[in-house]
Amino acid sequence: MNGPLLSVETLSVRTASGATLLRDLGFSLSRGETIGIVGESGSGKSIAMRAIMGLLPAGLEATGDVRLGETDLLRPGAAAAHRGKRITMMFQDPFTMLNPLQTAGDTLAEGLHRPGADEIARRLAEVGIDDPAVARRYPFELSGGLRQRVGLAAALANDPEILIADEPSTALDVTTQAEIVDLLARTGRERGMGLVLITHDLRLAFSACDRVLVLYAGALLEAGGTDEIAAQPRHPYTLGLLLSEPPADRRVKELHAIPGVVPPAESVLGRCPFAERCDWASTVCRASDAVLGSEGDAHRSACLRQDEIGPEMAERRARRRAAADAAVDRATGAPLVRIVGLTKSFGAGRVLEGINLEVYPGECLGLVGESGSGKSTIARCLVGLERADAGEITLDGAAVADPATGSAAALVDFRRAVQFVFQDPYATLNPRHSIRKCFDEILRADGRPDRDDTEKTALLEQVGLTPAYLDRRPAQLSGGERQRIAIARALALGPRLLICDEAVSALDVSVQAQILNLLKRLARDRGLAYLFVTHDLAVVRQMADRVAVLERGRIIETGPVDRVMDAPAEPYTKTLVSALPGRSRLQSRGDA
Amino acid sequence: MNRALIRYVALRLFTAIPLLLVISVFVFVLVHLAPGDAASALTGGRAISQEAMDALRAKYHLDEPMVVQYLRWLGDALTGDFGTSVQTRQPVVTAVLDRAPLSLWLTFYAAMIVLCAGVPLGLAAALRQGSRLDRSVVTLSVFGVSTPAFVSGLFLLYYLGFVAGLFPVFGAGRDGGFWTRAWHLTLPALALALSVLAIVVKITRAAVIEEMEKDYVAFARARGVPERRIMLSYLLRNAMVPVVTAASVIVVATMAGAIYVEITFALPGLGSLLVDAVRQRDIPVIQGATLFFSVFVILVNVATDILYVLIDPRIQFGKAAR
Amino acid sequence: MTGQSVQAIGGRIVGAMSPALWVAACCVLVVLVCAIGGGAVAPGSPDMQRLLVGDTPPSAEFWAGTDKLGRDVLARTVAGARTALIGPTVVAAGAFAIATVLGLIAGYFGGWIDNVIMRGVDIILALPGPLIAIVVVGVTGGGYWTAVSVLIVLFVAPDTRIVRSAVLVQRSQPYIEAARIQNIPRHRILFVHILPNVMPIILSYAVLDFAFALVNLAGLSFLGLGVEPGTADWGRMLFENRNILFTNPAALLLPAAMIVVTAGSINMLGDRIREAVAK
Repeated sequence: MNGPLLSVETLSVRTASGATLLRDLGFSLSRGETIGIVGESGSGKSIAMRAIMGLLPAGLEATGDVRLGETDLLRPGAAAAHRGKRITMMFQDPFTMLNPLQTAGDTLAEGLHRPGADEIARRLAEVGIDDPAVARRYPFELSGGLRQRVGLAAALANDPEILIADEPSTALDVTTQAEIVDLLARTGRERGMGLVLITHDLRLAFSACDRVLVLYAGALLEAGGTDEIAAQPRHPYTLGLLLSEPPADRRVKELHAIPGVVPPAESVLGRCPFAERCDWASTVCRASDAVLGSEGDAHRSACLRQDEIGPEMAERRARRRAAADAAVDRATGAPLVRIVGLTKSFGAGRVLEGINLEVYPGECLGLVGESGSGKSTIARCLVGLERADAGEITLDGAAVADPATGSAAALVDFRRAVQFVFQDPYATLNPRHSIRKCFDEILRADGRPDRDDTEKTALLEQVGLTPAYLDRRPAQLSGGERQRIAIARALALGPRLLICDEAVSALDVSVQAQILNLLKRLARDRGLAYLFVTHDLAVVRQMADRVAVLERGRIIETGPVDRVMDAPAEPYTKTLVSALPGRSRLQSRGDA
Repeated sequence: MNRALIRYVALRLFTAIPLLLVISVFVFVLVHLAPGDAASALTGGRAISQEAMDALRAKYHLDEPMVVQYLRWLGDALTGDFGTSVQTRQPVVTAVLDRAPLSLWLTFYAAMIVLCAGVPLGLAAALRQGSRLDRSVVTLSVFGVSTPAFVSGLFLLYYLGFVAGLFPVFGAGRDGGFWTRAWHLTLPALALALSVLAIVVKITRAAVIEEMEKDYVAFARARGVPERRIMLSYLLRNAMVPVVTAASVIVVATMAGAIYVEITFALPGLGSLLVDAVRQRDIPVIQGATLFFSVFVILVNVATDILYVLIDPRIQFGKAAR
Repeated sequence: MTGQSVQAIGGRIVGAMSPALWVAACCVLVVLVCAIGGGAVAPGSPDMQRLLVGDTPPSAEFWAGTDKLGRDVLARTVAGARTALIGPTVVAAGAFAIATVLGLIAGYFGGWIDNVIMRGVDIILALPGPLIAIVVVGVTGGGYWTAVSVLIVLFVAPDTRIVRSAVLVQRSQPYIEAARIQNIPRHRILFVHILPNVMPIILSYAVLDFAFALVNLAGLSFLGLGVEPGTADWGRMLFENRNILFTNPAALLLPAAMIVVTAGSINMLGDRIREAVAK
């Protein structure tokens, strides 16, 4: 068969009320090819793929031309007739993707022509599951990685020609992520399938895909071969995305952050969607539409000024490549906070086994580990959100005992010195309270009522927000702004140590860079120390002076960040470091 | 698996014992809850001879401390001796066992109607969400929930029984065969089923709608799993979990409804036995009937818990005992 | 399900209300007017007996006929709105007042006190509630307010469970945890952060409680156990008129219909509120 497997032209998705979510997307997919669709939240990447599959949520409508060979997939019922057999899709969250009441084998058998035990075992083996007993297990008995493999096997059961994978590795642990992406790429190659990988992670797309499409606010901004885009992005947004990714192999002084937030697709019709946030935007960018159509496979950019600004973009990239910073070992003198022998069980399971840890004044200690390693539990025990079974915590050498059981006075003082920033920006603020009310409550409880707003304004300024924010409510703020407020709130008590529990992992890359820069600045200006809890080694490389690696409730390795990441001593740390997405291939391509 | 299940059933039955004790204390205390002293409560306030009164005091050990009274009463109750009815002089056990079959008949008949109509209606409404069918099912279920069995009973009795003459308006058809009985009990069972049916429809519909949004349903569609299988193995099977969870509410509603329906249709079941006894303060009968009802409810709850475990493999046996 | 302003929820309730919902709201309003107006709204005296007339079918004078004692059924139905609303209001308010306190304590503090409260709740929930109500009200020689008190006790159990689980959802929210870390006093966390955020859920379930209490109180009266003899009450009318179904059906069907219409309308509004809260 000649021609592309799938060709998409002028695909648009609108809501029932007519608001555009995706406009004029065009691309094609050939046999044996892997393409990456990259975008932050709100880019329309998942909606586009659901439209192709005929799986749009109720109330959304797709128009355009989607052809699977000769078939028009947007015709009513057409997608349903080919789903599973010719084109299929798997979703992000392995924990919700499988029917909880069905065994893995039953799920797999649904798509097989001859569902026998041998065939099921063979299919499981194809996705790297050698234990046939897995077929008899229910999803809740399987780990995230195994579930994703079972999901892949089930998706492939009917031998489709096209597989769309929506963030297949995002919900998984670092070590599993790399395995799943490799597995997908290998299976795609071996079967000669067309593979579409949806991801927010440009580096991941570079490492696994032949071609990359960059989506932003419902529009296609840049498309082309991976090597060309990696070598020279031609759209400022792609460049920004690339530069805001914290590099994992070295530290930079300041991350490149794209100011502002991703706008809704509907609000940027008729102009360049990226104009508001672009350093090179001119009047022409705000006056004429700048979105890619679907002409061929060549490297294309929607940027109206790409030829004029090309050299400047290249220069910015080169400058960034040269910029480097060194971590400082501040682990000298007396520790600010010391944890000794912290132990904790949930039910029958031990989550922490005798944790010993020190945080020195002004340093940033990175605490890394996979889910279930107990890293958040340490942070939560430290401020008394969780009660430890045993262990001692000291502040400035004075015992606070277990904060949960310590005397009220000791606890109040401890919390003035140690504060906390949570992961989820959307739940971190009381939705009923304005920012003013939120700050006032804390200051009043601290015995420092702030009648003329000076204190509150100062807090906002520290996190880069204007006093106008005082009268806003959380619902009016973006995720990044909420996280800024959360940091300001934590600073209200004047802490010396800030615990950041995955504080940037729920944010889009461009916003994440803003917050990381803010945290770095606060550390410089205020001499603030951090306990930085995260699963993301690249972020740790940027933030931490020292790093402690946690595996199943034990600290297995501690040391300066460069030493631990460049020359890990423990095998588990080695696995973590080598699992960083696209590490090997990226370096060979000379990326930022 | 089977072993674990047997252990779970044993454990679940075992945890029902404290509950039974609480109920037995409650039932025992009833004697003392009534106005006047215990003895007059036990006679229903009627004047009786001194000998009879003495016999009564001896039977219920009224001269001994409360705890002893309770233990003795409990001992008697465990051997099946609940005393005799103040009204009819009939042993309470005989009265209860005499009336129970009709109530069980009625309850199971209604339960069949509820299951056979409620689940499909809820499913159909959810699958066509927003359609006219859905809207009428929703409105009907809201009003069904708000319609007590005695009200629906009155309407059925008057319109289907009296005006249309389709069903007998009197009697339980006790002397006839299976079909006569079924025919006589159809209106009462319908009346009883209606409000419970509404609960089941509501829960099923909400559960199916929730299931339809789940990732695994979208993934099944993406894999080309046939709609029929998605409906049965995905939507319905998962939706049954909340329905079974609500089983205890459903059982209690059915049972309470049965009491009212028996009064409305003047059926000589356990419910009318209880209500007559309550009206006449026939304490021994009240105690017997209440205990019987309670044990029935507890047993059904145990059964639904077990069913729950069978439907949902995620529930670990030990933890499901609430 | 996290907190949201009452105004926003109110907007969602009124916005896009279906015709059926408007009808339901009007029904509730009519019943409310009857309950407040009482005799002033009724077409005649609800208590005047006309023993010589006895039960008669609907006529021009008595639109819904008369009962055995010759009392005007329509007037009695109008007057019956009062007991139909007062008792359920007291039950819903009382049950949720107690349940809110218990649920807040159990949910926020956890530990042994949570255990004690929830075991009590479990026991009440495992009892056949309506049966207990019949037996207790009957044996104690009851009356309306005994019935109301018994229902409060029975309703407190499920309501406490609802409040507690809503509190648990809030308690684990980062903003509550942040407040704890920020040395905000406990009473403020409970009453300024948690309570307002669970209030919409509490209110929506209180409305459903109301409808359920209405049906249950009517049921007790229907068995002759609730209101005192002679009271104009829908359930009581069903009890007193049970033998004249075939001579003046309106004497039963009218109050019966009122029970369904009132409880149904309130349930409908309650469902709507709950949906708006859940969004």
